[in-house]
Formats: sequence, C-alpha cells, structure tokens
Amino acid sequence: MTSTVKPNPWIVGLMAAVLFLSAFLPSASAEEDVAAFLATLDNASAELRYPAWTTAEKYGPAVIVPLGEKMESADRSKAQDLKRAMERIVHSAARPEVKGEDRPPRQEVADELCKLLTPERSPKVKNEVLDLLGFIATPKNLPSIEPLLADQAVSEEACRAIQRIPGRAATEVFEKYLNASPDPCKPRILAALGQRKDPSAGPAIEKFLGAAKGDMKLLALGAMSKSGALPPKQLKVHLDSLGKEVSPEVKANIRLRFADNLVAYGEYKRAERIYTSLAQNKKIGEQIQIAAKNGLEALKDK
Amino acid sequence: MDSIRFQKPVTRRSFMSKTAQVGAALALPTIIPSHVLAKPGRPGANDRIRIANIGVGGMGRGHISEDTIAVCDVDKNHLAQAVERAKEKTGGTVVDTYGDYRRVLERKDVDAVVIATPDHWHGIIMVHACQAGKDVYVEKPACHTLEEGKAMIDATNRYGRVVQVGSQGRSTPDAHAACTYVRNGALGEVKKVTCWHVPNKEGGFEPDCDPPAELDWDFWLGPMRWIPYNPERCHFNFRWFLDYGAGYIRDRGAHVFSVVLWCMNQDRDTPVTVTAKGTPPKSGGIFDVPTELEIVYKFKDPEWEVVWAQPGDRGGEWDFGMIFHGANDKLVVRGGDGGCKTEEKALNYTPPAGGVEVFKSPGHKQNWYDCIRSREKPLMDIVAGVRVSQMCIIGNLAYILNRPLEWDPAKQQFVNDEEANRYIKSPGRGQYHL
Repeated sequence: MTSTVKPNPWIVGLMAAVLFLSAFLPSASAEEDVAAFLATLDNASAELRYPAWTTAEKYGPAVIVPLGEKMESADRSKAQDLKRAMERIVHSAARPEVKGEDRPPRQEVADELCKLLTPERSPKVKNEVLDLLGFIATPKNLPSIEPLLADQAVSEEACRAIQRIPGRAATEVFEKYLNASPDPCKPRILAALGQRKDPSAGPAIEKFLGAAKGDMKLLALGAMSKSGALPPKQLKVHLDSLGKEVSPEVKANIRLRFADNLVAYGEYKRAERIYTSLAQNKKIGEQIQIAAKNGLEALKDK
Repeated sequence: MDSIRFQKPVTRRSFMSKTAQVGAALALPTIIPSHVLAKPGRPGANDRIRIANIGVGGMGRGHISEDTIAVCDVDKNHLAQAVERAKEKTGGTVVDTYGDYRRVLERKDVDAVVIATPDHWHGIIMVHACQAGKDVYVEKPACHTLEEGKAMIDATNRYGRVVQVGSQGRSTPDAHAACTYVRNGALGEVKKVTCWHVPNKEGGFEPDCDPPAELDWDFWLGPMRWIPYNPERCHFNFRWFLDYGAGYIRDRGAHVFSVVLWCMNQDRDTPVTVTAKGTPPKSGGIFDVPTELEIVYKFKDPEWEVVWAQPGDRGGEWDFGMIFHGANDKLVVRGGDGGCKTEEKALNYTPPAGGVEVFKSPGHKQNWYDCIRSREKPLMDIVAGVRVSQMCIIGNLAYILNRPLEWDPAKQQFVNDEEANRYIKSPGRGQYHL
C-alpha cells in the first residue's frame, strides 16, 4: 500500500471553509471560484481535494473541459477524484427538471464532455469521458461519439456509451457501423444491436446476415432474435448453414426468441408452428421443450 | 450463449430415467410414488445430483461438496485450491477444472450449477445455465442490474428450472421463528423495519499493475467496462466498489432484506420510493462505496417502510441486523445470514390454531436439492432473490444520483428520471452480455 500525504487537519478545515465561502462571497468572481476549485483538485493530498470534488456540481459545465485536461497528466489517485468531480456534475445536470430550480443545463454538460473526444486527447481521457456520456449524452451528441466506434483504442467504450442513449438515432449509428467498422469491432456492434431490443434494427441485421458466415452469422442471428425483430425470410436455411458444430439447443433458443417476437407482432400461427415443432422435438434438451410448451400455453390467451 | 456449442452425448438424466423405470418395473412389486422415479429433468430421490461449482474463490470454495464433479474459475490459484477441497469432500476424486463457464454448461452430465462469482457475473451465467437446462444455486445478491433480475426470473420460468438464491438466513431456525411471530401478528401491524450495519470499508491507494499470470483479468471483468488490473479491486475487495459489489448493503443487506421481506410476506415487486444520503470515502483510496449510508424505502400497496442505516441504531452487539416495529411491540433479529439470532419471545412462540404456518427449511442447500427432485419452488426462489437485489440496486442508485427515485413495477422503469432509467441495464462488453 503506498502512503498518502497526511495534511494538517487545520489546513483541511481551512480549505473546506474557503471553498464553501467562495461560493457566497460577493467579491469573488465566477472565474476566481473556478480557479480556486481547480487549484484545490491539484493538491497532492486526497483529504484537501475531498471538499472540492464532493461539491463539484455547483461549478457546472464550465469546469468540464479543464477537469478533462487535468486528467491527462494526473496520477491515478488525482485522476479518480477528477472523474468523481465530473460525475457529480453529470448526475446533477441529468436529474429531472424541477420548476424554478437552478441547475446546470444538461445538454451543455454533454456538449462540453464531447469537446474532450478530439484526436489530441489520450484514449485514457476519452474512455473516462465516454463512460460519463453514457449517462447524459443525447442524440445530438452522436456525431461526436460515433466516429470512435471505428477507433479500436476506444471503440468498446464508445459502443457502451451509444448503447445507453435511447432512441432510433442511436440504433441507426450501430446499423451504419455494422458494415463500416473493422471486423474485430463487428461482434460488439451486433451484440449492442441485440441488447438495445429495438426491433427496427431487423432489416439492417438481415442484410448483414446475407453475407455473414460461421460465427459472425451465428452472432447476427442471435442479435436479430434478441432485438425483437421478425425472423429473417430464410431462417431455416441460415440455421442449417451453421452446420452441426452449433448445437441444436443454441439453434432452438434462437427459434424460441423469434417465436416470441412473432407473438409480439400478432403473428400467432407462425409462432405456434415454431413452438409446436420444438415442443415435439425429443432430440433436444428438455428445457427447450418446456420453454416451447410454455410458449404454446401463453398462446391460448391470444 | 449463442457461441456455445453443445455436444450430443446420451445424458445422465435420460439414461437414469430409462434405467430407473425399467429397473423399477422389474424389481419392485408395489406401486412406487412418482417422486421417487427419475424423469427427464427430475432426478430420482436416490440419484446423485451432479454439480459444477462456478466461481470457487473464498465463498465459492465453501460450496464444494461430495456432489461436485467440476469446478470453474478465472483464477488458476482458486482452481488448484478447489481441486484440493473437492478431494477432501469426495474421498479423493480429482474433479475437472475449467476457466470458462460456457464449457461447463456444455456438459450433459452436469445437473446443476452453484454460481459464486463476483456479483456482476451472476445474471449472465445464471441465464445461460437455465438455457442449458441446469438447475441453479446462485449466490446473493442475485442480480447486478434491474434488467438482469427480470431476465433471471424469465429464464427460470421459461425453461422450468429450480433456482435457489443464497440468502440462507431464511433457512435458519431463528429467522423461521421471527417470520412466524411477525406474520401471526404478535407485534401488531408492522409498518416499519429498521436495519443496521457497521460502516463500509475505506481503502488505501494501490497503483494499477499487470494482472498476475494465474488470473484472466478480462474474463474477471466480463460485462463491466474494461479498466486496468488493481489488486485492491479484484477478488474479495470487489465489494468496496459501486460498480461491482457496492458495499455492505449488497453483501449483507441481501441477507437482511431477505429476512425482512420474508417476515413481511412482501417478496413481490411493488412501487417504492427511495431516498438516500451517504458519506463518500475521504481517504483518496480506490474504494468508492460510501462509508456511512442511510436509505429509506417507502413501499406502496401496502404502505410500509424499511430504513437501512450504516451505522444506524444497533439492536445489540452484532454488526448487523433488523428491528421490526409493530403497533404493540418490536422484535430484534440479529444477523440474518447463516448466523441469525432473534429474541426468546419469538423462539418460544406457538402460532394459534388456524394461524399462519411458515415453511420450515431443512437447510438452504437441502431445500434446493429437495426442490430439484420435486420441481417445486425453493424457499429463496428467484423472484424473492431479485426483489432483494432490487432494493440494494435502487438504494445505491439513489445515493449515486443524489436524489430520490420512484420505481414503477408495472413499467419496470423509474418515474420521470431518464438518467436513472439508463442504469436499468448494463450495456455489457464484447462477448459478455445477457
């Protein structure tokens, strides 16, 4: 365990008091407040930094970029407090609006975070910023984030951030990069499309499926079934083409999910056919037969 | 699970099913109760239930039993220790070892799995195990995200699995006595339960470094965002990070809340408003759970509340426990995990004729074994386990976001809080997702 700098408790108290009063003293300009806040976060002592990062929300979007810049050269201990300061600003700005409440503007905070995604910033900083953007970014921020899907140093975190953004626009980004990104990035984009549970992604995945082979085809079928989309036109052909290397249970689980999707679309007869064939198939695990019978049972109410 | 490739050997269950039925027909002249016979998915009363233990670090090693046939862990040191433990339990058998749980689930001769990984792996492995037809004992807290919880309930029901969650407090005699006492109205109407626990740990700062050769760090992280290895983050210490174990409220709160919900007969998902306040750690160490924490849960339909407080008002010398505040009296239950101690008045209580009879567990693991054979729901089934986890997750989230949260069970969403709703599910990472 490395030792941490132990400051004089009187100094800690004094620093906390100065930070607290600086927010209320009429003589202190906003710029001076921000400068004092940032200087405190530069301190080698974690205890001296504590009162600054735990009250960071009051400084709002103005300090986002300076905090990110400081993160570039900060040691791990300081960098985590800088991130915690940014987190507090993000959570404060993203909370539901209350009438008459003074709060940092959400979109402005997200926009400031995006300013830290430029090429001169290190992957270390960009990954931390992307983590935060996952909780506050809106579709307006997608143009800043989406190019990073093709940058292998940060594409994983970019994928996670976009996945958290609700709405069709974020799904469209994944659809676009499903073809445009390097091959090693494709599995995570397929997974993201499945996890979003946005059935409108179906046609784009089906198109990709047409050219996919082997594991990529299996991943695409899995993603499409999880997205809630209707089954592809050639579902049986696609499943058969996976060969005997892929177990009947894996194929059956994909068919089960597509049957559920058909039910959601009101296509009960097609769903019934899939459930019935799985329920009667004695060559697959009994758990699949149980699931298919449960599907048939639920159809009785339709 | 899409990438899992199953073999197609004759399964032990189908083999046992056939031999048990043929054998019974030849040898036994009398009618045999149906629960004694093996059926597909139902081992007979005398069948050995073959278990694979997934996650065999500290807690997981304790789950290894004479029924263990395989162990799995991302740390080779854990595996080596687990093999020794299994030898002791099985009289010298060398069990199979795996680094990837998916290979374990491919084995047709594994009937059931015990999952004792760090929390962020519970949901994914459990759902995949159900898809592979295994019954499951999953350590508490059952899930790491609210979406995972729903998926775990769905998978259990869909595939007809028997799932027990490891909040074993419900299987202790004292929790049974407390439950009987409270449910029969001995305290009068109970509208409030207060829970106490000692504060969370505050760590030091250790620099990041390369993971040791025996550890697959990427697999350990699994669905979580990738970050560099740090010895203070891994294994037991995952408890002190909001991203992973998230403090005592999940570690021990999952025991305490389990007993609270059982006594209050409130395992189902109901609307709840949650407020939280806590003290972030001051030391500058890498742990980020709050040292002190107070969370208030106000339930509707019916209206009652739970207060979780660290440190809170202790109801005795124990580090944690709960107090049921009734209209006429109160009852203290200390602990709530495998160690649970309540008051004499509850231990000596006999329900009135026609009163509420509470199921008495033969032991948590035995209850699971019994239910695997009978296909009934265990005492701490997945619905109860998810409900408990939900309390832990929403409580911590109210602290993280620093605002009250209102949960709508019908919509499975937070009311009017778009950011909170982004926490409902994890985006997963790479190949690691539901």
